Amino acid sequence: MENTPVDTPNQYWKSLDEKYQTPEFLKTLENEFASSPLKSEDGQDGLARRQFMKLMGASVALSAAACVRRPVQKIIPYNKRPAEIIPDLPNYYASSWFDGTQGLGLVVKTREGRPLFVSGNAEHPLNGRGLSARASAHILSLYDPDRLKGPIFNSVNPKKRRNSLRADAKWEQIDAKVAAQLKKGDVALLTASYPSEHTQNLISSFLGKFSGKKYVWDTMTTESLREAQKISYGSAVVPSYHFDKSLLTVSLDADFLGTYLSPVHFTRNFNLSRNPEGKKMAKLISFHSVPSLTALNADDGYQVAASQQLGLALGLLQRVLAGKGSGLTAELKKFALTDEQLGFENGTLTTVAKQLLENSGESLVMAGGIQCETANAINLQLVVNWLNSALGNEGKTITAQSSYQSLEGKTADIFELMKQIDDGKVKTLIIHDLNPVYSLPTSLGFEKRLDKVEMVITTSNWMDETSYLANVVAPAGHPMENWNEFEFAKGVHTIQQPTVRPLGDTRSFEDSLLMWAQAAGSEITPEKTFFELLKKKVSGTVGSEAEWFEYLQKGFRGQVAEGGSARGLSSAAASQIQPVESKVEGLELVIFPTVHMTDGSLANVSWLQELPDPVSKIVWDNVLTLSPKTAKDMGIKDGTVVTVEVNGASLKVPAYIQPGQSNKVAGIALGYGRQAGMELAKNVGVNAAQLIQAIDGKFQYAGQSVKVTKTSEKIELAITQGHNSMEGRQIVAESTFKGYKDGKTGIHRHQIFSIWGQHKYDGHKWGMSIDLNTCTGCSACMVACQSENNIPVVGKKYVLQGREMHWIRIDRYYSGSEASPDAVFQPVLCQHCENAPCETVCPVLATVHSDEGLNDMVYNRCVGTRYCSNNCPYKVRRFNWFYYDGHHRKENLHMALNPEVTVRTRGVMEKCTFCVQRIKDSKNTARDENRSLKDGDIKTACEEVCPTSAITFGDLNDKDSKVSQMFASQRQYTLLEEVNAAPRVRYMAKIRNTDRAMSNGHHGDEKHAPSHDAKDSNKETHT
Amino acid sequence: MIERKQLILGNKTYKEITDDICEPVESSPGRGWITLFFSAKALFLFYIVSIGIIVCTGMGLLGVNHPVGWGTMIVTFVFWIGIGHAGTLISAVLFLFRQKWRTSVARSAEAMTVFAVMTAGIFPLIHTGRPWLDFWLIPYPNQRGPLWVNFRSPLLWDVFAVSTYATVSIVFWYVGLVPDFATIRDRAKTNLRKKIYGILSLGWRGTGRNWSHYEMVYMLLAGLSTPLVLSVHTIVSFDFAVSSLPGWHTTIFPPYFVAGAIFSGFGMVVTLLTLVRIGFPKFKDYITIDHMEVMNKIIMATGMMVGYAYGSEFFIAWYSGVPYEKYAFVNRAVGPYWWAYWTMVTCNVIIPQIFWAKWARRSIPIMFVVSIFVNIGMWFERFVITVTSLHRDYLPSNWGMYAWSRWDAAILFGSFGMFLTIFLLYLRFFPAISIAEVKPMLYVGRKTKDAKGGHGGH
Repeated sequence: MENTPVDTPNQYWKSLDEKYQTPEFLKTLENEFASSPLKSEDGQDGLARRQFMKLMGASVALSAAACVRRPVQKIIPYNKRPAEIIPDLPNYYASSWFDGTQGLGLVVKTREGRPLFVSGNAEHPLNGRGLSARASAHILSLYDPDRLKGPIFNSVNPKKRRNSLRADAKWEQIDAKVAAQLKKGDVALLTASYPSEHTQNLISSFLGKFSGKKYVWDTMTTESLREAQKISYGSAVVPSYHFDKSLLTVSLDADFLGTYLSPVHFTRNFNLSRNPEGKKMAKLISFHSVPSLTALNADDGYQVAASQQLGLALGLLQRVLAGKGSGLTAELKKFALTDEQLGFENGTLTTVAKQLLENSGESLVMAGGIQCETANAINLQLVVNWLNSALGNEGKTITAQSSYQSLEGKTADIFELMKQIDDGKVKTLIIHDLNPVYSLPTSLGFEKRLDKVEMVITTSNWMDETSYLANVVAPAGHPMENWNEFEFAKGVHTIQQPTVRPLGDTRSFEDSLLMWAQAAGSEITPEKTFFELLKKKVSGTVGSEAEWFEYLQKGFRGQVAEGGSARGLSSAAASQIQPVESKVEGLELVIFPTVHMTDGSLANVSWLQELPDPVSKIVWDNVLTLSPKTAKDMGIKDGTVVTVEVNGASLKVPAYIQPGQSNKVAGIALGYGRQAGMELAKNVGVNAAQLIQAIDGKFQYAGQSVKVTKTSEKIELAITQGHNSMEGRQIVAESTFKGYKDGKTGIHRHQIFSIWGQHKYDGHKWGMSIDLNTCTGCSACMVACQSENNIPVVGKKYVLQGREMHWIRIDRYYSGSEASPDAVFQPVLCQHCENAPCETVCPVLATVHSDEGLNDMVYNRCVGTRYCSNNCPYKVRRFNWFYYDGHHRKENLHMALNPEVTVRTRGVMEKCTFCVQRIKDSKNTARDENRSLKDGDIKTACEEVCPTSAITFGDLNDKDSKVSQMFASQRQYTLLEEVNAAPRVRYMAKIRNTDRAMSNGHHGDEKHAPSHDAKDSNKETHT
Repeated sequence: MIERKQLILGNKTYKEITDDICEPVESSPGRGWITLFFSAKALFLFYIVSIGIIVCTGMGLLGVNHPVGWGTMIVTFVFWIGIGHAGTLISAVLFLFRQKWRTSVARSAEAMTVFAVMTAGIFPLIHTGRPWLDFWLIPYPNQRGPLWVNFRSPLLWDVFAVSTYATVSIVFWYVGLVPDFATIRDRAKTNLRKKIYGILSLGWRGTGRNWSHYEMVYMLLAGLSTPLVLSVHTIVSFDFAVSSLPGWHTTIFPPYFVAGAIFSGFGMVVTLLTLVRIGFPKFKDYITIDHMEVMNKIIMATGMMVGYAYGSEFFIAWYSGVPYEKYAFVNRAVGPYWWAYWTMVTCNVIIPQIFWAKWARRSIPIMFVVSIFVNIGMWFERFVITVTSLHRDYLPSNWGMYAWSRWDAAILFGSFGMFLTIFLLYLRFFPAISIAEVKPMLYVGRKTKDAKGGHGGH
């Protein structure tokens, strides 16, 4: 363009640039608003302005800036408001999420087009209202700043490639390149199990067009389980387990409450049979190598090495069969271990077997998870099947009617794929939903083989380890951006509705397949998008358009099949058990998943990195866990860096002394040590997958000989709870089931009197009850709270300085011996004390009592003396030491902020508010509907996602409310009652179903103070 | 009758006294003073920069955390406030008790008080998360509602206690300075001097009426200051005692804190005066070994009082039967911060015992070293109270450690820079011994061996 004045109707000009229509000026014209809050380059990265407006809405006003004074920021109202969105009011959408092995029905809360909070779909047959910590946290990965903004073409030779050398591409270019390549045929698709028949059908048609083959592998493998099911019962399924019908569950290293298969569903069901008020209470016995969440929730726990799992199972089987009048073959008898060989007290196995027999048909033996992936993995499952069939559990506590049939990963597929590549039979490799370069050990050589493939395509959302080596990265977007429908369990269909338009220029995997097929000239269906295809298919089942919308609203269709008959145990199954002798000398390795990290796919979610591991309470690191005795013998302390060596593969990792771990085992968690694409997770911990051993076409995660060598280095571990003993104080009251039936609650009550009168409450009086008997410590509440209340993460450096910000934390205490301790979990949040110590000491009245009994925190008024925190006996207050709100502002992360909750600035104290914004919201709704609040209208974030409903919030002035009834229970007690802060939160004593004498520590049930019943101790005046 | 020792040595005349005391004000500083001053000033500037960075970046730079919400700043605040106590005690309480030996040391002790309170006063202001809103702690009619303050909070009492104490101390000190300022004005050789000291002396003419008013005001202010000696540290101790934290929640704190404050105050007076004696050798005639000995006796006595408090805390913790209380004190002695506790006990209780020996009480090197230990010990006492109580309280899951950082060190040592800078300036601009009060201490008209004092002996 010539720089000459143009004769245009606009005679007035703002600048010379405009007058002369310089190229720079013309460029600025493309932005409608010169003062747009957008960065100048934002127009190009796919996050278009109008959509940005839609997403941002009022939230811009809420984010504070990083300087002393909060600057004035402009908010821009909707130009044209979408019909379904009323600013300030949330919209809820039913959706779902599949997490490796677990499927969850969700309700996603959105505000002005932004997903903000996920809770469980209350009516969903599997997880109900409950969620896992990961499910609560996966919303943050939607806003992950490291997520790819669009497709990428890696043009340079992978070996010389640096991330900076990649070329951003347009989808049209990618499609053209891929289509040309696809036409050459020999396509391989490597993917993980994915329970969507629509996707699977599409994959089949796609591969059919290009003579392709599908390879499936899961990091959290269920292969041994399925293979054993096939041998024992004829079909390779993952059966469904009915913990609610089991009175005795024996877990052989199966972490069903934490990581194995479908933990939220299991936790929910498990809790149903654990009611101490009933005649019978289910019991959980755990045999574990490394303590898992399940092990810590066990009534009785025993330590076994991974190599002993089979021997232990055979030992149990032998005794069970003996009770039934039959026995094992001599061949198998040889492998059955005795109490002595296992290091148990004499008679332990016999007792467990006896209890199993007593509960025939109402018991459940379970093994599985990668901790059980030893040389004997299938044998172990076969013995477990045999045990369950012998006990008559098959068909009762284990059924195949509603199996999880979609899990189909096979290790053989990986080997087959590598062989095909070696043979030059793979020209195009599409990798979806997997990150094999990270998840497989380097020694396997998968990474090297990628060079031999003409074109490697990944659909990863990150420039991760595999994408880095791929030629084409076609990001499939976040699950919250895509449509799908799942069948998590047979007969239970759940819709996955997108709740936001793709934030970047991403395209779902399914749409990519459709596009590529079309571009290559072999159209699969006339439908242009996967959504149309899906809708057509699903509508075919559900019916009319109205019914389709009804389905979308409800979120799922179908129920878990009830009843069913027992499958007969194949007579050949016994002969298929061919134990492999363990050759382990010294320590053996167990690679295990943790509740928050599992396979590492969400490693870039800061909420999860800073979520204390429920067992070890470590954040931002993985460790080599050793038993106290082993560590002592080796002279290893917490944080001592050790070299771990398994068959040539070695890692350097800090050690951690884990009470309750087998002396023969060294454990290490999977999911850490990300190397590429995830800035946050990069080099946090080490990648334990490097230690996986490929032996005889199987991956072994456990039971391998490991050499642990101490080094002189030391790493400080960020552990959020430094002290594991209750020091004999009454913190978690605990009793045995037998004792409880005799009226012992384990609670030491104090006679307390006060010279002051009490507050009076005419309206509501909020209270919360937390049942320590049902709390499993799963930590879902912690993440939900973080998501709801805009709680910042601070990073390892500051966790080390004791500055984590969680409003609700889960304290985990051990009691008994170090070698085999009992554990208890206790969620602790602001107790909203009646005589709140924090309120009296604040010089500026920044924390005050509300007329509904809440302990309000007024951020604006807070000067930050921190006196309130010092005076809080529960230490639940958190201080903003720096501008923590800053981190939310990084790229899209601020969009995860809940506009209903203030973002706290530097120098301000914060704490749990009982989700006061939800209380307000429910009150407004009730007023709009011209009714009074009902019990259950208000659910705090922590309460909402708790799989076991351990947390109950409600009005204490309402005599019929659930929380009032809980307060009247004889199990209720007040934490630190003698301090007389008179908390609003009451705990319910834990009941352990064991015959052992409990070493509770505190003199519970002692009668040196007159015991008073719940009514007396409820000191507040009811009006 | 045992003859009293003379309070002023060297058979001074009134003129000699005036000359001696005015000399530092009227002469150019020596190399020693200049070196000290510039070192102190450098430290002071470093302190200002450190505070600036902390205020701009956040409290997170310091080691305070969860569960230890208060750290170096509060510890050092209480330390300096305690230091301030000796001054008022010497000038007011001893004045009312007609302790004539106080006259030589009162001025500097009072100056120390004022500067220590100034140094201390910085901390409550900067230790808050949002120091720019500190004025919210002052109750005044405002346009924010009006929002009032919480009169139940000991921190608010602190605001009143410390500000009252600072005001009264400064007024008391200043009133005492007025006749001496007039002396310097009258001796001034330059106009500027005359003007400045003329303004400072508030038109003092030395008339009988002047003196009469002066004596009355001084007496009244002494009477006003005396309860403050007890109240300030009592109220500072309430910051701890009124809370519910085991290790803080004790009724012994008020007397214990006051005794500790007097103890540390005298420790600091001895430290400073031994240095003043070295710096200004002529002052040795006024601040004699006898003066120092008396103060050392007080150090030993108050040291034993705090020792008693340490013991009785343990007894009460055991006697109360409260497990948290018991644990808090056992944890002090044998927990992770045992070294802090035993440093405190060693410095405060054991080391001052050397003053049982008269030679030690009268030895300048020994008393200097002991007074330094007393200062260290008293800082650790506040550290022990603040940090070790907080770091392990009710719920073991909360237990943690103080995350000491280099900023803590900067704040702690920097505060000495501020104090010393002001004190060194004071020595050069203010008469460091009260001329007016010292003169009556001469044996005028009384039987002396070789009396030539008074008006030349007549």
